Amino acid sequence: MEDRDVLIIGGGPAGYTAAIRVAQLGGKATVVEKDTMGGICVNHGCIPTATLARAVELLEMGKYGKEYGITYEDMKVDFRRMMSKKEAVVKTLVSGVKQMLEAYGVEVIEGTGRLISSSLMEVQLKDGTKKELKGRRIIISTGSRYPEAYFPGGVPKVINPIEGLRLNEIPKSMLIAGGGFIGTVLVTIFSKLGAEVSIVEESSRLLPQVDKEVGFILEKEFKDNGIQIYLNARVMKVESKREDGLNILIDVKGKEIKAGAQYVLMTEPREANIDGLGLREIGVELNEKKGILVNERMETSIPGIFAVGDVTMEHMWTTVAYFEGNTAAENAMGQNSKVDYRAIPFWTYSIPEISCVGMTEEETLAKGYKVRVGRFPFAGNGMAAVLGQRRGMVKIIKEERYGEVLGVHIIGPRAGDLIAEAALAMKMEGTPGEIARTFHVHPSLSEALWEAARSV
Amino acid sequence: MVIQIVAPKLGMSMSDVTVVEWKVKEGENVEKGTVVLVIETEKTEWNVEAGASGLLHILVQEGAKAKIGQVVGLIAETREEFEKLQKEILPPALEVGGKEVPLTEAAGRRPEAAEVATGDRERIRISPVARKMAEEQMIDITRIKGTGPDGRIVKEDIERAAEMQRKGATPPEEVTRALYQGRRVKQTIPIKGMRRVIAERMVSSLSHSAQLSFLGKFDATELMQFRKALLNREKVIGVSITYTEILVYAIARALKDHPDINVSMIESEIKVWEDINIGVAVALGKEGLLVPVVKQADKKSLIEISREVKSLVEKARGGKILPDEVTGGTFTVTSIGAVGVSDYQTPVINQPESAILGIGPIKDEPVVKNGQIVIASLMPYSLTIDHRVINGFGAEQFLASLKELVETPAVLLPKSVEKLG
Repeated sequence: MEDRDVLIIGGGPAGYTAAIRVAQLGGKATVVEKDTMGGICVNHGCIPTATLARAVELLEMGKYGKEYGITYEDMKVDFRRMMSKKEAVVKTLVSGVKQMLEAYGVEVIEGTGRLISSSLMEVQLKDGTKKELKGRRIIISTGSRYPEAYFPGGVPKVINPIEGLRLNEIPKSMLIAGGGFIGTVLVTIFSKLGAEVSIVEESSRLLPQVDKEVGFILEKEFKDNGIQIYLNARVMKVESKREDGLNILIDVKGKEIKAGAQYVLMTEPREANIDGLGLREIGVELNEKKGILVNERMETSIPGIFAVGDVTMEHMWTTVAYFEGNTAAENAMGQNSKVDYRAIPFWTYSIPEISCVGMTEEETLAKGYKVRVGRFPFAGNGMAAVLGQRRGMVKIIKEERYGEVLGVHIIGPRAGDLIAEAALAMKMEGTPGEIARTFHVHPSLSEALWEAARSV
Repeated sequence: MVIQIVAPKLGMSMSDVTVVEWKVKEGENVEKGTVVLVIETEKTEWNVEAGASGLLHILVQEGAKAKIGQVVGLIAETREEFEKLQKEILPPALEVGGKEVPLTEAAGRRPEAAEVATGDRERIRISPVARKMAEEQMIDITRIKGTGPDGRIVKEDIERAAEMQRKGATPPEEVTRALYQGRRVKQTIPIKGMRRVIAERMVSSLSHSAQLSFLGKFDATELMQFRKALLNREKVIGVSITYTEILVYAIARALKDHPDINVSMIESEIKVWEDINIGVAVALGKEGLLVPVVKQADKKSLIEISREVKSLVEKARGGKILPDEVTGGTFTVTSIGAVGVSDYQTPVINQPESAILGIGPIKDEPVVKNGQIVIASLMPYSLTIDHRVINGFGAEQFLASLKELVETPAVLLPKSVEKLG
């Protein structure tokens, strides 16, 4: 039997990154994928969501283009073309992943893998035949999924985000459960497309990971757009109505409120794809979240087997999955590598966009830090005026004594791109002083962070 | 007012110096005129005195190199000024000629890109937050091993070091050495400055030449009388002459007759030196050793030699000797002197010289003279030569001449007195 250095089950961001790293280090890597390369992120998550958000952003631009003397005659939404553009983007990226793996000489086998031991894997190929693969190390990167049914009995129009991205027509109304990074972008997409949207969030505000001041700006934006927001709330019960719709029972601070919508979209929960992997048989331990238990070297309880990405049920973001894949590959190839989870940036493609890295001001105070805060509104930024997108702000929080940047929160145009500089500053244990002393292109949106850093 | 401390130019060929030791810690008081800094060139150490009194702000850390004329530290007159300086994380201007500059020019202004790039403080890889923590908590970052990417010092490293400091322990580096290869370590002393130079040069000398030693004793009975006579006339002569100085004088004259000893092997050639420059080894406590050189000793009177040796020794002990004063020797004399217990040593040649003479303590011993056992004062000597360029025969001939001069100082005296006039 042919000997591989590293066998990888699952070709999502964590898995394909691991394969490339193994190849870069001179090893022979094989990826076993049962579906399409790219995983949830490329096929059903980040990429299709961002493409639809871009579509509604273009719709917005069409509206304020008038101010610049540009009027689009006959501007309308063609939902089918929007969806096919989304598919086209996904295809482009999937083939990009495939080409990259090919360029690195990574072997890709289409099939379903099952572990037999820490060095042996059985693959059921698409034609039904079985094949055994041998590798010195195994990396599990099978990802996560949305469970099939949320409510007893199952209601057809209760959907998950993946299903939400595959609708055939713009829904009339939708209730989105979960006001985090996924929920808020979906609210934006469907409301801008004309659906009547409401959102239910368990905590006291939307985007609890984002600083209050910044989150409130989006809440206000949502309210101004007619979006119903239920906070400290939970969806208790969903029933099909006789006509096209659902009766929904929401618990808001202990009070029961009745609502109705054509669809209920649940952004949570998710579960790890561990069924049929043979983990129990070979003794791979799970954590409390029913994900695979790993250490910071991404090693599981069985020597020689690593687990990365969503399947660990921790840090379930592509942003982090890349690093975990890289780390597991390096360790599988005999290096000593760890994931440093500090300063993970988050983003949601709402309008306006929101991004953040590090702690909120509230968190810093709760942890006993003495802090100073710098703010800068995009209303004062030249490029924002040029773009006609002056809503939003940058907030920077620094520790008072040594000046370490503890958190940066941005709401405004291209916030997802702007946060990179803040993440770098935090990773390097930088202070606003370093940002303030760095040249920033003028005019550019990046000057907003520079101004905020200068003000603290 | 903020006063700069600048790396001084001590010799023609110098381009940079190493900061060996700050005598005062960051933020502590310095007194005008006291030694604030020890710097080192390839050849020597130099004490830098404070140009003013105030609070010290260190810019170039111990162990780092500095260019000639570079500002290595600042002295702030007031606490306010000092705190302002500490807040400035930028290295100050290079090659600022003036001694006194107003605060705004010394530190308060915006830096030019080139200055930031050449700042020596950037040599230590450390995160901005870690640097600020270290500065405020007075932690010496040169002794911390970074655990960040590429060995960068990060916040955690400073926190650990600070914790150690609070517990009264030495930094982690020291702790890990507490047990070294099964042996318990009492103290770890970094080899730096003069000690390091000596270590390197001694090993280099022994590994690059073939050293052979000749041991014996001079009868110093008459020499003692001679010296006593000179001491009695100290008021007339103006100096109190030592045995070492007499030997420098005698060796210079012996070398004149034996140019084959006054040589160096340089690459594949033997250079016979025109000048006779005698180095005199000066011990500086346990720490160090310097060899100031009496240039053209054969052309100088005993008194001139005596004055020069005294002046050089004083400079060496005060850390004020210039590189040019410790280079260019062609022969070295090293004296254990009166404190010595041992008669002999096998001194290591001071490269690129080819011979060194060690002198032991003079002791009274029974000797046979004219068939009679008498008491004589004997001076032990040890001559080490480089056998690559000097043969045993040549060495013995040189020693015979030197013996005659030492044992019959009358031969020396007229020559010496001639120049007195």
